Amino acid sequence: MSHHDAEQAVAKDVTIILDGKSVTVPAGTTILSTARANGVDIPTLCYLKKLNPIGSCRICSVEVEGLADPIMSCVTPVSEGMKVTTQSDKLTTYRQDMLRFILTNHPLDCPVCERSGECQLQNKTFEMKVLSAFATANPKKVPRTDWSLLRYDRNLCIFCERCVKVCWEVQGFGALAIDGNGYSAIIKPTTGDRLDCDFCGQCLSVCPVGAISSGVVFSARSWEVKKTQTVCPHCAVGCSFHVNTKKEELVRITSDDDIGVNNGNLCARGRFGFGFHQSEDRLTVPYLKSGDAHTTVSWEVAMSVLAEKLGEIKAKHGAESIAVIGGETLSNEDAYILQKVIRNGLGAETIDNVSNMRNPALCEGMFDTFGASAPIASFEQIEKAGSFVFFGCDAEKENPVIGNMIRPVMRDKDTPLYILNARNISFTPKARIRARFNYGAETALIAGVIRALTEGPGAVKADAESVKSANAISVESAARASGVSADEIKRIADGLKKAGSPLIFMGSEVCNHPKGVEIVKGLSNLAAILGGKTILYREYSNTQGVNDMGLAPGHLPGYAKAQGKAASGGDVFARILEGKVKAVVIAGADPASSNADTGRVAKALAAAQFVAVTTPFMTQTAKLANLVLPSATAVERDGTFTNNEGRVQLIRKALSPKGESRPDWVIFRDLGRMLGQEMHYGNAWDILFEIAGKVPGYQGLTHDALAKGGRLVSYPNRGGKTGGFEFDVKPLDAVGGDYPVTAIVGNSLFHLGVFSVHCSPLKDADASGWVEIGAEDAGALGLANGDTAQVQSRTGAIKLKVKITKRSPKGVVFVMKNDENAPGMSLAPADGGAVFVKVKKA
Amino acid sequence: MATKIKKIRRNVTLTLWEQSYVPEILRGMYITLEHFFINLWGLILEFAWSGREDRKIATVYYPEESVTPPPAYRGRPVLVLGADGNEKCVACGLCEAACPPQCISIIGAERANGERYPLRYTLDGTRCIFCGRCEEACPKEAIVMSDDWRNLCEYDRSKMIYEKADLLVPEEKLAGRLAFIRDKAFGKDRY
Repeated sequence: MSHHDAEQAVAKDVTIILDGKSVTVPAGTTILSTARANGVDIPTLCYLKKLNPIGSCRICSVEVEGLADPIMSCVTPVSEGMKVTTQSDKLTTYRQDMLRFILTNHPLDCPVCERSGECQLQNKTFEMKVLSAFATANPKKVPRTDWSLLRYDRNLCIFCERCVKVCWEVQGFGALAIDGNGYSAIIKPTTGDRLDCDFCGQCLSVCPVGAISSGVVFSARSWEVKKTQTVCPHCAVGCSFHVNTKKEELVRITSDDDIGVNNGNLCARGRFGFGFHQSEDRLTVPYLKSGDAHTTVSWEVAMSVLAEKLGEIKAKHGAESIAVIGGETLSNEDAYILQKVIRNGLGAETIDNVSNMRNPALCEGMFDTFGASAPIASFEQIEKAGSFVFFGCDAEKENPVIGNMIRPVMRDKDTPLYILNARNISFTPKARIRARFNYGAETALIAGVIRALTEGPGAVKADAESVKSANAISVESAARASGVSADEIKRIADGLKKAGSPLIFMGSEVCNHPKGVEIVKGLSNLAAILGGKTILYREYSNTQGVNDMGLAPGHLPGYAKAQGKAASGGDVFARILEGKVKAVVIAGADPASSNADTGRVAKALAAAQFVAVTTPFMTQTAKLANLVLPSATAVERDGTFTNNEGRVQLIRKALSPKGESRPDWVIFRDLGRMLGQEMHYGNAWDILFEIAGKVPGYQGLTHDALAKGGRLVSYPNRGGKTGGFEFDVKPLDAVGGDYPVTAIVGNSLFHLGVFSVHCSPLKDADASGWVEIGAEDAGALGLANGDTAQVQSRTGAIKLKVKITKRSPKGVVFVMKNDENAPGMSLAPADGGAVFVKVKKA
Repeated sequence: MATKIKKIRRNVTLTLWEQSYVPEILRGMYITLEHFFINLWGLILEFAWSGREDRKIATVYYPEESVTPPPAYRGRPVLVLGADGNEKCVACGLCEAACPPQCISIIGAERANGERYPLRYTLDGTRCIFCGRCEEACPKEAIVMSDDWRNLCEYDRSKMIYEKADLLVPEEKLAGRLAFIRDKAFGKDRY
């Protein structure tokens, strides 16, 4: 029984008299929550639902019979028989007075304040009819502080402490603190003079006044912007936000606490990574390669070249000489139309997507075991979980918003967290146990934990199938292989057993692992034994969706096996180099900088007869393509994305496509028409209608149903199995001699894919690629912080800036993936194996 | 002004001389001819009379001569250029919000000292209806309706889109209007 359950067991219901009406709520509920639950409005200013009550503004004060003075309703729990009055003349005056105290020092700079129009102090002043002040104090003006992406104006600050609390409770960073008190109080970064944090902008979003501002919103005032609710185009969490536009210009991103899965939380990428939509680097017209250079052409010419070339190559070399690679930022509609046109119109079956190509075994294995491309658990499980396990995932950096979802649960329920990683990954609040294992020995460690759970006194009863594979190894040999001591393994097992029903998160380290499938199977067994669930992080906004839509070899939409035709998966680039594939259509992807062994990809693309790319930017891939078609970004089109938990959510058009760029589905619909197919789709919702009719799991989706928070896909579960898989417990082979260091290639906090490098705030935050290296290794190599190091593997060598951290243990480095000039993936071998490198000073 | 009390004769019987209407016709002719000759000499002797206080005709020889409208006149809206050489506008966008035909668009920026200013201030003269709402909304007396009624027409619409540089007028040239809005139009006694 967890701590939380114990609390629940003693919780009783309490009846209070609220404004003369008798209401019953569980003990421990605050007066404010009781009132809100019963439709009674109490004005608040500093209160925020996702934070613990702060109680700094006193606006929410109510009268309680028997007490002389009003008390704050947000922090006072109800007690039996309490008589509460929420509206009275005395209270109105009291609340007005409290507001006057705040206004005494608040400059009336509304016309030049960024928050004006959506300022909660402004609203409350208006709402509570405060038309005069007691007095105005004129404390000396404090100059505004620049916090890089954010700015802080002490003069406007009302010290509600929301920013301080949100940074600690939700973001887990604690970058802000109040320094001093009274007139000399000021909010200061805890990271020294400069604010050096995650730049998630949570403080910006919760600030009720203009004290914390972004400094990017000069061109629009809050009342001028049009807000369009859509889904973040970056990672796979699928956060909902509002795109704020003014006269066809994207000015900022905001989010509300009551929309989407993210509860108003966004990360740096989501909140500040919008510059790419209207970047000057965007392609606005189609380009055709003639000779060595690209020349602009009209859409008519571009489309006819595309249709003719594909037809020609099909006629000469057959349908199997045409390949399609889809990106993971395509919408479901784009992906569906693309595969339909290629399968039905050209009869080609070589269809793949970037995530699948990175680790083909994983997707295939997941499909065979789970009936979907990944084990999927809804985010609602976070609330229900007994414990959290981060296995090979770095929630703080990869999917920061998942961290934001977990923290309040850990705060309220004291849910334990276990971090198992090949690096020293940290998380705030602190994990119960943080175990670092040797890269490659993941399955051995999992088997060790399963063994520790199921043997000895107090063993968990488990089905024999789930334990079978684990029996091949003892706890002691698992400890030897993984580098985690046997005691530690036993303590992890004990902890998981006590808490029950773990929710296991698997990150990109698992996705890109040569033994990814085995790890997922092993962890599924572990979860099944304890009655828990697993979630595999997907990398991009629609990685899940493009797999669902059949943009994968051999799978039709909804994971039906492709029949009749040769379902030919395998490595597209190898087949180009072999001369089997002559034409490649690449939609919304940049394999030349994101696929393993980028050098080989570039060689293959140069060797292909015809390469057509749809992309918003002139990427490395586009530079090698014969035909470049400008495509619209996620805010310039309608459609749907399917996120990490299999939730289909609407993306809405907030801007017109830049220049002549078109949404991908329009391009492929037109191609379909030119190939003689019937394509009756007038807009994206027509395609959604067809998807809802034809794709298993997506049945019954309509635009209106999705508009209310999206809907979870019902994936077919093969054989109903969630555990009991066989997995291989053997660790990876030892590191080769010439390349002694294991490199883990992943995304940084600020960068993901080709989009983020075109957003100036993110680019400034992480200007160049870097490699994280442990102090011991760095010392041996003579590297200091900020030096340039050459990282070399069998497939390539890149130069990166050195960051010495505790996160990297001896023999393991972390390489940032997304530098345009030094793509981390150039180090990865094409066969999906582990990345081994050597590092030296450059 | 002293009031002249006019005696009105009621229920009088007109004399035969009066019944003939000859005196009234002559009186009317006199007034008409008086104006005819004032205008005739006024037009011919325009240059001699120009600018004189006792000038009696309203017509002016435009463009050689022109009138100065009173301060209440709402001509082309202009931005006030302060004595320090900076525009008074702080790019708050209230004029933009108040403008009924939506002819104003502002892109703000910030000076090194933290003051906001309009990086671009565009006023679309083809849309402006000279209503003066912008002036009324402005918290900084930064946009006012000037007495400028000349050059408002162009053969090319693109020339009628005024940028900040076209709109800036030094404060001293607008003193009359500024005093008028402060004291009369939007003065405190008006609210």
